[in-house]
Amino acid sequence: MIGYTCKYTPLELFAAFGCSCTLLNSEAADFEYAETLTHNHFCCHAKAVLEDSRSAALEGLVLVNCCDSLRRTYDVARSAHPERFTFLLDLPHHDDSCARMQLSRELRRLAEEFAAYSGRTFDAAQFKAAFVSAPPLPQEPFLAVLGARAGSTMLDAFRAHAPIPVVDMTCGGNRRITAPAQFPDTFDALMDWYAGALLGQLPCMRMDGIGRREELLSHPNIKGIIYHTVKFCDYYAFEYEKLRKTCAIPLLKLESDFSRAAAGQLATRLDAFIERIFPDAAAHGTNQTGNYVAGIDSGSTTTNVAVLDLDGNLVASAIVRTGPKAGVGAEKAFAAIAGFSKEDMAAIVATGYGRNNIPFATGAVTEITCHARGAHYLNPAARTIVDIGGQDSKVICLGPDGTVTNFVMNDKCAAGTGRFLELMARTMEVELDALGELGLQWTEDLTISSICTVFAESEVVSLIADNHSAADIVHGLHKSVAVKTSALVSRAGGGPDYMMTGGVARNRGVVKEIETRLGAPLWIAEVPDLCGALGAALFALEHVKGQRPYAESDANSRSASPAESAEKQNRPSLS
Amino acid sequence: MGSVVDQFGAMVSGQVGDHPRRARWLLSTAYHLVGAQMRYMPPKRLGKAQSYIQSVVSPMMGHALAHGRSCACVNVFLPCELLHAMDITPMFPEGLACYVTSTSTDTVFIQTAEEHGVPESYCSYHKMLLGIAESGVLPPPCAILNTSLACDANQLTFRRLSELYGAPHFTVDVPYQPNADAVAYVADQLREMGRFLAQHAGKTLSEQRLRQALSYSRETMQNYRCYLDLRATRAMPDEMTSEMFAMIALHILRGKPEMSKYTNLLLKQVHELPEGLRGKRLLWVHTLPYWQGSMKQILNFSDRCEIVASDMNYENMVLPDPAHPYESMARMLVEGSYNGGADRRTARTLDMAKKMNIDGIVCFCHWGCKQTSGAAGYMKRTFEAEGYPTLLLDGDGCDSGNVGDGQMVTRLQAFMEQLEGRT
Repeated sequence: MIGYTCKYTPLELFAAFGCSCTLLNSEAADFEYAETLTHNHFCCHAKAVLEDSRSAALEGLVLVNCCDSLRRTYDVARSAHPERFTFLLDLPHHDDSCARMQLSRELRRLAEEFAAYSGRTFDAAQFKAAFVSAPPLPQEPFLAVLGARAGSTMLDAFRAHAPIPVVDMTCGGNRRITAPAQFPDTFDALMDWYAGALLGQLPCMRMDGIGRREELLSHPNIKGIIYHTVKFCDYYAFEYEKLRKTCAIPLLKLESDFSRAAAGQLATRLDAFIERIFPDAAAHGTNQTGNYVAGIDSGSTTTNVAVLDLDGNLVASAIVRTGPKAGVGAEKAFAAIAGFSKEDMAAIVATGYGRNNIPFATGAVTEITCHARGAHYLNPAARTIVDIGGQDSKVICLGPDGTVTNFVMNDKCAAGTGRFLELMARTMEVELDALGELGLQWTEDLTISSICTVFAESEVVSLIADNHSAADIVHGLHKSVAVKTSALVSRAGGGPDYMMTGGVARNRGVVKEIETRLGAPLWIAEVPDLCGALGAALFALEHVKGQRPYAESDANSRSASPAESAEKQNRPSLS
Repeated sequence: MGSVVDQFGAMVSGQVGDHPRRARWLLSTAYHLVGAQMRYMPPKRLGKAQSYIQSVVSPMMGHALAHGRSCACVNVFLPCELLHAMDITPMFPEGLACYVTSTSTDTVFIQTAEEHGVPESYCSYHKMLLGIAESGVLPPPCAILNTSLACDANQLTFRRLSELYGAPHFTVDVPYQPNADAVAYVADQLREMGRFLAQHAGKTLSEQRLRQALSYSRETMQNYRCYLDLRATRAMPDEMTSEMFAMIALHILRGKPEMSKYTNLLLKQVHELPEGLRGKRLLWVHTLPYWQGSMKQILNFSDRCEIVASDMNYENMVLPDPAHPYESMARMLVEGSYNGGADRRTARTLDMAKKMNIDGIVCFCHWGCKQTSGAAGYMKRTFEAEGYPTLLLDGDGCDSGNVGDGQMVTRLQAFMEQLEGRT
């Protein structure tokens, strides 16, 4: 068995030697071995290949000089297993006739070296028989996975979540080589033809001419695109940026580190994307007995609950610390609402990271969709929501009817999130709640330039050592959060009116800096943390009242917004 | 507020968003002034050769910003003899990024690039160039040319620039295996590139001028080799920037008479020094964090240690033959040690370490460079097996916001202590 990773690998050549090939496409449990051999700042897919390459079942490894990382993967894999057949195929960047001759020579070199290693001979009949037609694309609507190759676990997860077929159109899944009507007779002529056939595939981003990649988008049945990028692989971020500006098909960018660890953010983003394409897809149940509905936003730091009566009036809310378990946090939040029990609720919709771990919830909707819903309800003019919570920050773009048109989230890095500010407050020995006001009292304009939370912390320590005032340093930190946030807004393509939600919206210093960067004001509700829970409660209410997906006419037909109703009932309002 | 440079950087950064042309003018003027300073009032500690090359390169950067149409955007490995033969100024990511960082304007361009979707994990040199371009500070060039060597960023940055400017783009594909077929394949592409450039720049390519450029290249390479021969037995405390400028001389500006003069000055300078070694002798692998205060304090003009050589300036051992310009340029690409596997680069670096009487090797893992960071572990194992203590130092060659300064200082100082036998 020969391990390979790239669609340009000459699989049929190995078949001619009676040898089968296996695609190395598994996510890794960890990268201990790979990082010992290489570096932590290294393509995560390449590291996963290195982890896979340890398998005793592999007789050899054939890599293509696809990229810097795979070239180095070859170097270290060969050095770690000198006894094994390890080959690097030099694939040209061009696909013209000179490049074809160059590749043909490489194929002959490979055949020669493998014959010498294995003692086997090239069988032309087996070679010709090895060409099999790739399965056709579905005749029904489907989701396409594009970009950098996606790992097998991730593809399985996509298929499990999506209500329609998911087709892997990355280079892990779109290898298509068609046999000719008649094969050439001699070995050299066969290799010349084979080089052309390999180069004639739809190009990956590593090739010089990539114009034909537009064909990937041309299939009429593509309903949405999951665009995957891998941490420390740079190729596909460029194509995504172009698609983001030009592609009319709904597009979701997911970045992974090719590890098996369940990434909550990926599931959230995928669920939100599916909710965007299929508004009816969110799972709901109802006990149909209570006179109220509730939304629970189970976040990394706090769990927030909002209770509405069946007329849509906010009748109660609570914010509690989540603690280590989402279910316990949700129980605590419910206990904090005086006078209401779970049995009073006709439906309870959960959102946030812990949404799937709350046993008594009757439905789950992602926080992206819930924030959008809550925000649109509170301020229908809002077109861009900036949400900065404890663990992540996100920007959601809304259409005039409140539907999500695009969203982006920060990656795994904590920079630009509430956690970043919390860590910095601790470093500076300042109370977190005091940070906002303190940062407004700056006199010297300091810049914290480090993009990484850890580096920023050491930069702050240096500034403290240089006797800069706490107010100036905090102002620098606020600017740093604002820079991250405005970059997210820019990536999402957001525009005015802007609204901010999440706990960090309470920090006036951050708000002011973001407003400066955006050049426009941020509209902020009185209790900005509750927006997600409110959105979830509104979903619960709609479900109970008619089981209809959200539409603006529903919102407009309400007798009063929560703010107005709360005012009438002398209860705390949200806005 | 900090130094004059910081104030200048803040002023330029403030202009980038709304007035990119003004920012361009400010930067261009500053680089011309630096050039004049290096020509007429160079810092006392700087050698003649070092101040001379800065007096040539700085105005070139200023020119590239001010007069885009007479420039071509290229990568550092592109054989620029073809450009010099047509009086086209090369503009390349590493050079412009370093100059931008020297004027404390790196942050705004890095941010601009990331706002335009350039990944955070991308090589900072290339990210910076894209930020300068996306912000409108970099004017459109007459053409965009790159080799596939040495890294992926070349494929991406130059394609993106070409889309941004709508400028003609040519890629030279460099095969991995050093053999005659590969040389012929590259030489044919270089011939085509010469025609392509002449057409788009509106110039005529004279074979005679090309051969002349190749003969300057040959002189430059020969001088530098002689310099290394002498430096192997001499101490010459210097600053990190000098290795960067030597890299520019041996790559982008190779083929210009000024580089022949620079290497000649360098040779004279080292010739005048007495024989004898002083302090610990370091061989530096890959680019240098020349801008970083803490690193400068340890490494620049120090009696304790000196950077004797960089592998960037030893990667190409081919002496060009002016009678065969295209084959010579192709051989320099194909046979260079930055082409091919980590074993080739490691062996060439070891050869240099032996030649230059090296005490220790620093392998600088510049952010985003998967070629170097991916090979770093292999290099360390190999160098140490040959008796050369090796430090892997993670850092950034131009993005000041991307380094853990304290940790870098600790690593480097501990390495010095290790070399001095304190551990």
